Amino acid sequence: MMEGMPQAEIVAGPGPTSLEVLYRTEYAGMVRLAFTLVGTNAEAEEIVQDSFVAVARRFSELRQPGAYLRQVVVHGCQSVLRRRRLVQHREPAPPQGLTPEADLLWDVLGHLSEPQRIAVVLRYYGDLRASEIAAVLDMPSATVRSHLRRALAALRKELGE
Amino acid sequence: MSRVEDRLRRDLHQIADRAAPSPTAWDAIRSRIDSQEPAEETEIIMLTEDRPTTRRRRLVLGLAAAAAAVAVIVGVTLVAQDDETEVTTASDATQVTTASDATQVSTASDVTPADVLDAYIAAFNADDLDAVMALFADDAVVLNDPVTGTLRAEGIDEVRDVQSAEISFGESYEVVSVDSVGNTATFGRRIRTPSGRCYAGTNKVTVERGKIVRWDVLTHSQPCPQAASDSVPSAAADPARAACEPASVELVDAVSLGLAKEHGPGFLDQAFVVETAPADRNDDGHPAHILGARINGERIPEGTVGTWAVGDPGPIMALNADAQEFSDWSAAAGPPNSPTATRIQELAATATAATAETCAGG
Repeated sequence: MMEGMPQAEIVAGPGPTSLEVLYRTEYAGMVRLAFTLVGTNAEAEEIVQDSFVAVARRFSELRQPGAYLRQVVVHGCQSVLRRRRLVQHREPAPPQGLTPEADLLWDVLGHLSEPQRIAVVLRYYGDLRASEIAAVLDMPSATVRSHLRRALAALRKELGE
Repeated sequence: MSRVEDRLRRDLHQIADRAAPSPTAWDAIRSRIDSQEPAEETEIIMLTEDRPTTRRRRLVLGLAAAAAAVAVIVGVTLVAQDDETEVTTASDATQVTTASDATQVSTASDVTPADVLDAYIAAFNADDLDAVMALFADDAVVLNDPVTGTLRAEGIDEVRDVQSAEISFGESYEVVSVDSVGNTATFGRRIRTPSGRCYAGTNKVTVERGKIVRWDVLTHSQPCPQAASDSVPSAAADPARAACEPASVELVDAVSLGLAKEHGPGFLDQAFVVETAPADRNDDGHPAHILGARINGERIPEGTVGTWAVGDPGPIMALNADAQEFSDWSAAAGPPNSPTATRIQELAATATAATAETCAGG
């Protein structure tokens, strides 16, 4: 697991003893995860804060609150992406201060289908295995692998690699 | 690790690092929780709490399916050296055990691909990886892309990795249609995720000497077709749709087999049938129905609605322009002005065909 990544593994098993511990271990990483999907800090923070409120409602019954939190965050990002596609018909401007290569990657990611984009971010930023991504997205693991393969093919073509 | 994967890891972290998590967010979260501010309802599956129940249900279903499978499989005997669970059937020559290791398989020449498929589904749903792997040949391959034929797994070890991942995720499979030709079986498969969501796809297995030597994914799994939804006006609201009947799963799967692969993976939903008038049928009673359905897929334009003449029995014919463009059933027409092409034109012009298109929202 690389520095700055969502640390859901930390809270696997018995889980943190309080929501505040979960917040301290997960909040920043989840905002970064949401940011890589939706691209604006305000929306990313709103999604993650909403997710913590949702987790709080069932915190006592969750055995893996970190994994559940991640799932709620990704679902929140999906909602934002769908709303954008249906209502706004636009993608947000790239985050400021990126290298030209990262700026191009952001643009190309915006052309992937929603499940492909999420699968790529969870795989290459979140370091999740296909079976873990399948659990987050509630789809067969074979479908996740298919999304990843197609996304990589599209990225290779668009990035000229 | 490929260059593009390296680049993804590097640049996604750079993008993520542009986020600026608020250091005081806890106060806002705490305040919202304390005030019980309702948040937007989100449809979420419970990864952990529902899992034991789901797994128990699947185990029961799996054992039942295993028992059903062995009842029809003649010549495939799974013998375990370390018996833990035993399922016996009326056939005293057939015995299945679900021990975790040391499983041997003996095969007979009359084992059909459909038999092997049944055994596979039963073993998969029973979470018995060893029984699943006993059905694959050592040099089995899995081809995972219907267009390019991309190799997904080669050899028993890679196939085992794929099967193990799918079993561990908790999926369950159901075969909804099988078409056996020679040593192959093409089948429609429904996949249930642990939370109960349904996906459907078409696959083909090639069997030699009782073992799967090749597995082709013909269409990637897509959300299961739905016969009707609120997005299509009801018959009560639209008299033109009064004749619309939801199409059967078998019929949808049969027509789906002919979706044109050059347009990428596709699937049908909003599938309805309209019974043809007797005057529109030939001497064999074909077509019994006109099927109207939306054709969905990443590379298929939204709003694509196809109509097909379907028989019971009889050939499937692509009637309207969308069906002819996006499904291979148009190949049945033959050259222009052939009797079949003329017949298709006649059927496409009937009121039944127009109604079927309306049924599917066309």
